[in-house]
Amino acid sequence: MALLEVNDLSISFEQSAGWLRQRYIPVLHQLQLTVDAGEVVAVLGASGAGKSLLAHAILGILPSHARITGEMTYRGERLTPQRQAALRGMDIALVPQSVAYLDPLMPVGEQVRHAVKQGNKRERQRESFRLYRLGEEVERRYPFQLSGGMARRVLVAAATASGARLIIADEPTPGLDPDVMREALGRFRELADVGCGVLLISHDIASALTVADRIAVMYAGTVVEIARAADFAGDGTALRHPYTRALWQALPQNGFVPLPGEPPQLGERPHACAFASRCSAATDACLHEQPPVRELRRGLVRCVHAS
Amino acid sequence: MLLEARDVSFRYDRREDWLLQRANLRIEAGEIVGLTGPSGIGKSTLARLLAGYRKPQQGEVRLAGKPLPSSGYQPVQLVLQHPEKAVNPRWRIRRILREGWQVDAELRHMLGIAEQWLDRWPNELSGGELQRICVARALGPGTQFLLADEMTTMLDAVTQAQIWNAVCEIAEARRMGMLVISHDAHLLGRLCNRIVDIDTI
Repeated sequence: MALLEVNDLSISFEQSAGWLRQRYIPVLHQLQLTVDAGEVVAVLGASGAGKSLLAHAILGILPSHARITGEMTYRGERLTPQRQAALRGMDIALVPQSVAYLDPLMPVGEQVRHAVKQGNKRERQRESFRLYRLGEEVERRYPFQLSGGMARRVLVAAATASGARLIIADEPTPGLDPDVMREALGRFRELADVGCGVLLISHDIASALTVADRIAVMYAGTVVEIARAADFAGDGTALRHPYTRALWQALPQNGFVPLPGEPPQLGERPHACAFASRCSAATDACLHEQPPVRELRRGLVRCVHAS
Repeated sequence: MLLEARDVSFRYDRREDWLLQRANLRIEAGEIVGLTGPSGIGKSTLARLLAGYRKPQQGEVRLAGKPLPSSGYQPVQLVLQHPEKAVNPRWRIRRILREGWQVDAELRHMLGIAEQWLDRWPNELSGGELQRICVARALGPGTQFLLADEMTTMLDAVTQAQIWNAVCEIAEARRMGMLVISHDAHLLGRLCNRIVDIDTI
């Protein structure tokens, strides 16, 4: 059984359209995703593809005008708003984007103890500090007394000490130099290796591939492909969706090929393949319905032409 | 045409050690120079000095042998990592594009800026879309050097390749010089004629 299972998740935002009328702007369409214990699943895509919305939907922290359909389960049980509230910070933890989320006025040891929800708080905190090679003297320090790398370790230590089994990390590494980046990503691998499931949200394929087992690629509000990390190799022939291949071939270390065009704006064209306007293989079928998601070579793809 | 930092030293606080000490860097017209090195040792500060945002406490920045102009259109333009922090959130895109010069349709087309973005607010564009706006704004006819400080770090690979493809084409056509600051060695290898480590200048 998967730790987290997301099935057919769609989200739209209610917008007022004049006197007493509403319309719904679709932002996520029929999204599928699973995360198993012991696994790092990276969610990749351009800004605006809906990556953070997915994270917020799992945590149950979408704004109140969001309308959600589909099903999410955590360890086999349905994630209702009540259950999300109970699990948040307990079983499901968020590692935020920036170390600015630490409280500047509280010693970091105390902040991590606050996150501990089960067992002896001080023991759990010390254990997680040891795991991340943070000395005991660090407990009493304030965030401004830590280097950037240490502060990041404190954030991950808090997620570990909380006892959470599903960790959602939202863009934890952009702009870091390679050494700090490797260290930060290595922490997520370690969490998975001790049995957590990790959902790593990122726009940086190359770095995500260094730790992820599987990669979910988002485009215009849906997952267009779920691939294994090993599929990203050579000229990308093992990849299933043309957008995934375009991402891979756009890396400077590959072809640096600029695929022309833009993703559709959120809310546009939910009834066609969102990638069709940029796809060299697009046919009539692609313009008239959203391709169904199907299994292909131990992965998933949402493209009628993929083989 | 030559943009150069001559023996520049800079620190943000007199009680601290020098962040840059007697640093030297030369960029020729038409040349693309990469600048790399660990976080926090002065890459962005050097770019700010070269663009005239800050004055070095010692040494000087020279463009074609003269100090940077103190008024008018700046021939050395800087593009930053976070476009949403570099635009006025209360201006529509159309007005942002007029801030330094009147961005023409040809450049908009080269950078993939769609007509319908012009009436939107900055928070209605994605990061990649907004960064194109910032690049267009910096590429007036008077721009002789473009300094790109982690310009595409926040963007996905496809958008990154699109923007650099257009910028390099424009730079080549105008014989514009560029400084590219990045942690991505592959990106610098793709773009640059030479790569400089900040530790060695």
